[in-house]
Amino acid sequence: MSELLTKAIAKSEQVNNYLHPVRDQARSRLAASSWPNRKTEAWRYTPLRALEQSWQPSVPSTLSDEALARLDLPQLGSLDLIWLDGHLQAVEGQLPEGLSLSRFSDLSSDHRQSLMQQLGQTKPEHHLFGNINDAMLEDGLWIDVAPNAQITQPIRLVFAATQAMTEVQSRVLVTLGDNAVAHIVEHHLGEVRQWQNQVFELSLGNHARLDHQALYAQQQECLFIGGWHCALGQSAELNSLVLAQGSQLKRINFDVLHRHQHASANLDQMYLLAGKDLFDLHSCIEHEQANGQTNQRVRGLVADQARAVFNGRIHIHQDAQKTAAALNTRTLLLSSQAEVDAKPELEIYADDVRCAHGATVSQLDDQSLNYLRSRGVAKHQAQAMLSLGFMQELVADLKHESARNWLQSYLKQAFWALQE
Amino acid sequence: MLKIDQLFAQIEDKGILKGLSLDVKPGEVHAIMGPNGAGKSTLGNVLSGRDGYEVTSGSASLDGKDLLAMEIEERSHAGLFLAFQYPVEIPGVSNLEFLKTAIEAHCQAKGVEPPSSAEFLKQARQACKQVNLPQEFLKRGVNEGFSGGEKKRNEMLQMMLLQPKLCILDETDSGLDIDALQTVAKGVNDMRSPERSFVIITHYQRLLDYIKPDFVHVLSDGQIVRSGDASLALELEKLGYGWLNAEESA
Repeated sequence: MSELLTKAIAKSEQVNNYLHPVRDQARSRLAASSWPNRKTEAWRYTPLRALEQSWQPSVPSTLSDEALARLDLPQLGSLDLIWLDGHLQAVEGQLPEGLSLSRFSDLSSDHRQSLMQQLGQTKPEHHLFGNINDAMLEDGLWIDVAPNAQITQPIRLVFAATQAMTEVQSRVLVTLGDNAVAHIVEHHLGEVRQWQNQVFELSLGNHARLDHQALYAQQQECLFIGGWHCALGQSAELNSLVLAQGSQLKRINFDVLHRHQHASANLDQMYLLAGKDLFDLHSCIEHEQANGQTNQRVRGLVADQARAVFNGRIHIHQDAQKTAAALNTRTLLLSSQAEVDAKPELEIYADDVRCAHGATVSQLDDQSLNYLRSRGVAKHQAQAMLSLGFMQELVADLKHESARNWLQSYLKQAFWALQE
Repeated sequence: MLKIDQLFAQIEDKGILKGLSLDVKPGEVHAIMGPNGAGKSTLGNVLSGRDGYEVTSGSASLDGKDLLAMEIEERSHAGLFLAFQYPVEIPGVSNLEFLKTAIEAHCQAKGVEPPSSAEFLKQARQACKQVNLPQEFLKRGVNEGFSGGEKKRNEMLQMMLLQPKLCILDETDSGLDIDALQTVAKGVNDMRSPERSFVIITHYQRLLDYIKPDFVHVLSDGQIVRSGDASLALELEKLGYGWLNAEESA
């Protein structure tokens, strides 16, 4: 067993608060787990060596006004929640009606009970790092949107890494009541050596809608393992766009559960990798009930000696008749040493479904290249425009104008940095 | 302006152009007509430098400069413009960005200062108006979701902004309704000048009702088999292309 795992178990025994049943159960699951090696299918292409270091716990801190201003994104008009090295800063400003934010540690005993019922509802038990997160669980944030509340102001969750050689475990629970609407923007950034292990659990009520964008912009030194697990109520709608840059180790398990009928999930996931970066996206869409829809588009640009791993599983259960699920993944390799390991996995147990999946590792389209060049655009510039356009196409579909502008300009900037 | 001499070109091993010669002087409008498979589109593609076509012999020059030795983009800088028969859709690259990059590339090649963003935007909007394309189209992906007519108007828009010396229109009239056809024709007529020439490749005479050519050439099996003035187009329209073959074999 790895030292990291032993430490996690030991540490979980020292914490003392009402969340102990979560920790205890995770501890026993961990005791029965083994540390992944190259033969472990889920970690085959993603070595965990970089984690084997002595990490210190991060400590609460505050940022100077100047540093805080740098995190600001006024154009988004968002309500900002800022975590510094895993520690949530005091939230300023008034909350929109219907939105409540509670730290796990601040909950009244009634609410504690309902929290305990929610935790672990969407996160699968077999995820090693999810179990580590459980075992180390001391606190977290619960974002709750009341039934029928329509919160149009984006809620931006900023996760900033500033303390080097620290370990950060973070936990967020999001619950949307029936007919509720919310818009969540995740913004991950940092340049220091840090290990982050994060779990998001989300649950959408009947007819609820969540619009979600996540920018994983942590740079090379920042090691990130995240679980994002979302369960959909009847006729619920999830519209999610993920844009990730790579780092030495960056892995996201992205799960969507169609627990009830007529739910829909529109998932756009993109990555832009350079240097020796790695990005590993494991997505798993469970269609447990009938009439659900999933449309998943994954696009990647991989330059230099970077490496992308994508495993896209769609599992259609026996009762999930009339499911329509499509998964399309396209990767552009910008250098001969860039690598992608892409594996779509369809598992279908219902007989009346429409499913499609496609995976291509492609070159730029010759006709498009010819068209741009025929108008005088130099070949290398035309290639760059098309590569960037390949990614921008998904961002351009984003309904929210401010988020779209932000991500488009971020993408452009990141892309040109990669060209240099 | 454009001088093509005994041009032979092939795709893979199939010969398409078989000794084509054409001389276009400044200010002239030449129409090239001919049956399907005669090599009309190949001519446009070879001149614009599209990959996949091999020139086996002959020459083509623009203002005395060897076109065939230039890269695709250099031909554009030299003043050649091909309006495509099937303009390609490029989602993710906005029309405006594309046009701006193209114009900047042209300015750079000429060694002149590119227009400011504001100036460029003004020009682009003006051109939109001229081709009857709503301004929202500037923000959309290049040709993305455009109808056939809108794509052709977008070709005209590019032509107006780039101000080429030699414009080749490759079956620009195909798939156009009468309104779009008139818009395209108006675009061409507005741009006619003593310094600018046009080569209009078309299957039908219809477009030539609106753009009056100085010369009409009939292309058949990779060669120009007949040349005349505008009345040749009318004759062809009446008799069809079968008449040519019959006459040749007689």
